[in-house]
Amino acid sequence: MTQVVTIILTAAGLTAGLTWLFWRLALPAPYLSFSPDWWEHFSAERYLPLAHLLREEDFAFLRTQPGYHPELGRQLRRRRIGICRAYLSEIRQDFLRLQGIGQALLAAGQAEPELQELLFRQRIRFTQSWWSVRVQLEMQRFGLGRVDFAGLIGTLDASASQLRPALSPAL
Amino acid sequence: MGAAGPWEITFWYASLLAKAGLLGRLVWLRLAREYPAISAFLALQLVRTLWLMQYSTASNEYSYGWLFTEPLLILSRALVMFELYEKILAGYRGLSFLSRGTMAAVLTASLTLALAANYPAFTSHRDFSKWMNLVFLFETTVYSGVLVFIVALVAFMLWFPAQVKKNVLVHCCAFSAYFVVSSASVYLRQIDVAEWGRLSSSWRMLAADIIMALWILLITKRGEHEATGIALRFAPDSRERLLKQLDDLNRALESRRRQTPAG
Repeated sequence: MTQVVTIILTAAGLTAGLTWLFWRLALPAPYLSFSPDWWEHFSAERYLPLAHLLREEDFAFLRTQPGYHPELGRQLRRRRIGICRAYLSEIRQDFLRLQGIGQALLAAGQAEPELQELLFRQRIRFTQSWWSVRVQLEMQRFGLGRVDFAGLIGTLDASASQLRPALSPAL
Repeated sequence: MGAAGPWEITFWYASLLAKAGLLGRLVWLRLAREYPAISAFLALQLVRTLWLMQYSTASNEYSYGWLFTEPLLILSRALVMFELYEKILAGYRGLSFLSRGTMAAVLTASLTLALAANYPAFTSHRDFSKWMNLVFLFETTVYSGVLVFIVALVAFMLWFPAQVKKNVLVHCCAFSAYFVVSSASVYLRQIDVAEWGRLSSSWRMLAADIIMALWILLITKRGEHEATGIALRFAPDSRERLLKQLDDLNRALESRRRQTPAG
């Protein structure tokens, strides 16, 4: 009887997993607003302040202030991490917009098929950098290590630079 | 294994109707040419069912008829998956990572793994025929191997979306569900042919009928032109609007360039 239950449960689990995967694929993609203004004013440099948000000097300065309590330090760290997360979410949205532009050009036949390869490589690099920052942020909650945003911002900047010629060949 | 009971016979007739209905729908929607492997597979399955229906399920004619035609249908299902893979690949043109060579390597690896995983369950000959056992081993190996391949492909599509026709996804989903159900029913049968043989066959047929009914409902003419939401959209309406936005953007950039004297 155990064998029967195992087979039925495995089949049910697999079916549920597959249904979830196909359902996710069939879901409408997230709506991302896009305008010429966004592209024109887009710059990865707007995320540079991120590098200063979790500077150890700020926490050291706080410790020297009268009335300092360790809970204050923890609160500041939590808030800064929260701000970083919000920025990370925006960075991801911007990256998805860039990828969307590339996919739209491909779908319209306005770009060479090689653009697909470029978008793929960009996504690999971005995913690596994004998860690396996410892990570093989680460790920061316990005051461990440093968070290096330079790689992630650099990847976003490189993605935009690589797409620019494909998007506006006239320039 | 004994003769089929009334329920199994009912599911059998229902499956005949479902296969004919699905093939008819593909022809009606003029999609049969678009999916030749699927259409050929459905036609083959329909002819096989009609041919075997004249025999009792407990007869030798039925058993041998099933035994010699089943490998052909298993291979047809695998070919269908290749047809669907080619359709998916169209959305990823230019991506060297998804070359046929890489995919052949992934498929070989998944089939080898599937064979290694399934082999022990089919080595003890509890069935009346070792050939039947061999066909079942072949079936579960092909199905589970192709299933691993599909799951890997779908997971990749989730991570790196591109435009894929809605109908292609429906076909993929239907075949995947059928592969899971078939493999599970073969495994159930292997536990004890006398106890589970007929029952697992009935369940498999019922599940296949449900899958085909949903398949008929989900295949549409629109699904052939409509890409799934896997590609990022910029506006909730149409692709045309997005392309217009891109054109406007290019025009705006071009006019700005003309206004700015070259430095």
